[in-house]
Amino acid sequence: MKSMVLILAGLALVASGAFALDADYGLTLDSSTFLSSGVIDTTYESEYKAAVWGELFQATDKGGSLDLTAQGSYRYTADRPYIVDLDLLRFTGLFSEAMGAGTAVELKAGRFNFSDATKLILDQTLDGVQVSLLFSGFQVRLAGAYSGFILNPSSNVRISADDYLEVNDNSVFFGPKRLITQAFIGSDGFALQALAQFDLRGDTGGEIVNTQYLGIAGVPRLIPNLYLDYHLTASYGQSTVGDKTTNLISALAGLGFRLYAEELAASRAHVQVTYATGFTPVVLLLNNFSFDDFRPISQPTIGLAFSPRLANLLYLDVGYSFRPFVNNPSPSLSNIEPLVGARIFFRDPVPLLVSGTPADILVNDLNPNSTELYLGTEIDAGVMARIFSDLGMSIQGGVFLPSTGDSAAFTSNRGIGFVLKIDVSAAI
Amino acid sequence: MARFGDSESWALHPEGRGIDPLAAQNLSVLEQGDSRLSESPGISNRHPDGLVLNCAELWKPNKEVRMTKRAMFLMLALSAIGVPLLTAQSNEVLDAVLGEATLSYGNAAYLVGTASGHLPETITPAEAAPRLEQEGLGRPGLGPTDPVTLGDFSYMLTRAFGIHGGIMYWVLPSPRYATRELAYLGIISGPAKPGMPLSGERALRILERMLHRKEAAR
Repeated sequence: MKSMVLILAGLALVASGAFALDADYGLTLDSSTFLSSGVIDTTYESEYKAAVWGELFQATDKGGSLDLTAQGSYRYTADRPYIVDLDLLRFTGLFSEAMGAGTAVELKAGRFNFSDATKLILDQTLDGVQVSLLFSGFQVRLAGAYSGFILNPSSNVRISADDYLEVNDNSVFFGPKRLITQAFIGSDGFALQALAQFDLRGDTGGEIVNTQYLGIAGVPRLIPNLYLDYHLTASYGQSTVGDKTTNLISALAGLGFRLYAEELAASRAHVQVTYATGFTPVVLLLNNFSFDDFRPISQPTIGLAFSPRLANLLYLDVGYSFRPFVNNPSPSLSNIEPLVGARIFFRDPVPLLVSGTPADILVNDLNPNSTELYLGTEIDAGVMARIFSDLGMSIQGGVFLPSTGDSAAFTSNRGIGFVLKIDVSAAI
Repeated sequence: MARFGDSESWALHPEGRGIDPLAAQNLSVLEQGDSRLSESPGISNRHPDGLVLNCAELWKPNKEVRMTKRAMFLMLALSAIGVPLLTAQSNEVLDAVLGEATLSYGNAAYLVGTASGHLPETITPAEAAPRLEQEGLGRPGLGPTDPVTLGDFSYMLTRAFGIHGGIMYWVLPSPRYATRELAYLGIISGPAKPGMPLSGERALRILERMLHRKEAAR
């Protein structure tokens, strides 16, 4: 026993000499309170989260590094009083000059966030591997991941009807099981990306949906301070119900501008139009093909007071934020950031043009007799502040003004929606 | 850019969610040579929104690594115009600092003490350490030739330059929270673990950013 201890101690010493790991750790506390009214009923939700993280870091030759980071958390909500989750378990290896001078290879493995270039198709913590080949001015990235070990309340992978049925089902422990692959090549100005997800429900699913995406995206600088923001994605998928398989064709597009004027109180403004296709009833090749709702792999949050699925939707998003005390020596004051924004929502006009009726959109109190495309407008305002380096908070309020009436998109049952969201986050 | 419904833009966790001290140090932003590979939103100067295409901070060739020590000294001296304490420091001391794979406590005390105005520029590194401790700004227990960590250097800097820090630094002033504070302020870029060794070159880069911040605040 004694010799074993000595051997282990010796190995530890050798290891500590060969790998001078630097360690760090910490605790974060988050509180999020969400008040809403006028949508269905007045609701009040609070979420409290305490997370412990730790990191081991090893610098290597030529500026490379090895890093292992883990974070576990306890989350409390009224619906789910105990959610213990592994938020992050990521190994990152950065191998500098692995393919010659000015290049690097980055390997990530474990549980971490995967996202596409737009963050509208995929933005979700998953378990997998990602390899990035980094060159001067562009990179190539390949990734593969599995979504079936993410806890159901933490999973935003919702594609099929079965996925949505499980959203609030407390008996379902893990999120939808899917294999997700990703390839990316490009830079800030132009990138080509491909994604695919494969439904692994097998025979247990009522509908099996596999989807593939091919698209371009970029945020090139037009003139100093002004950037163009564009993306275009074509999606092809297969929906299998029983013995029948329907091929799904859909698209996602966006075009806008971003203005960054640091000299004007760190002003930032954006205007963006986003379009996601809806179901269009046209018969193609014996009804085996369909223009359908766009189905992202993970559902993005579009608005504060009104956030429908990213399908059958056309919306204009404008926003402005600034830091009025940006030049103040106090970081607490300089980081105060008021912001205002608005979003104007429409249904996809293509189904109306093709068939004379707009496609259904999955929102409450939709007027079934209406052909109106305009859904409503959301107006938001808020303040975000990093008060200290280890304490931040944000207060955001939003109002959704639905289009209601006899011929409007919503019935008169749909009232004005109000939302107030307060977040506080602290690090120890 | 801060967007509604996105509570991640104002605060930073390890994966960009909520506040997190890892934010400024995550994912190997390499201070030496300023080669960067960062996914931390808000860090990028090249693209104001940081992670626009999930690759906003692309790998850049490490040109500065090839910079000679003398050129680096000149860069530091030029960048510190208006800060006569640094420009007046001897080339010999700066060359010695640049040559140190691990910064010694004496040289760290010299750099911090003279740059902050607490010590005269004529002092030697061996004298600087005890003098800085007399001022209550040193790291008692370390000898002039002992290596200092990033945490030690950060703690000396925050105290000498009067950086107030966050709540935890106020409650428990220590190298740990001093390092986090300087990383948050952008004075330390790249990995920022309090216990990691600190090269002379990196110490000078950190000091340079601290002096820029001091100048900007005037």
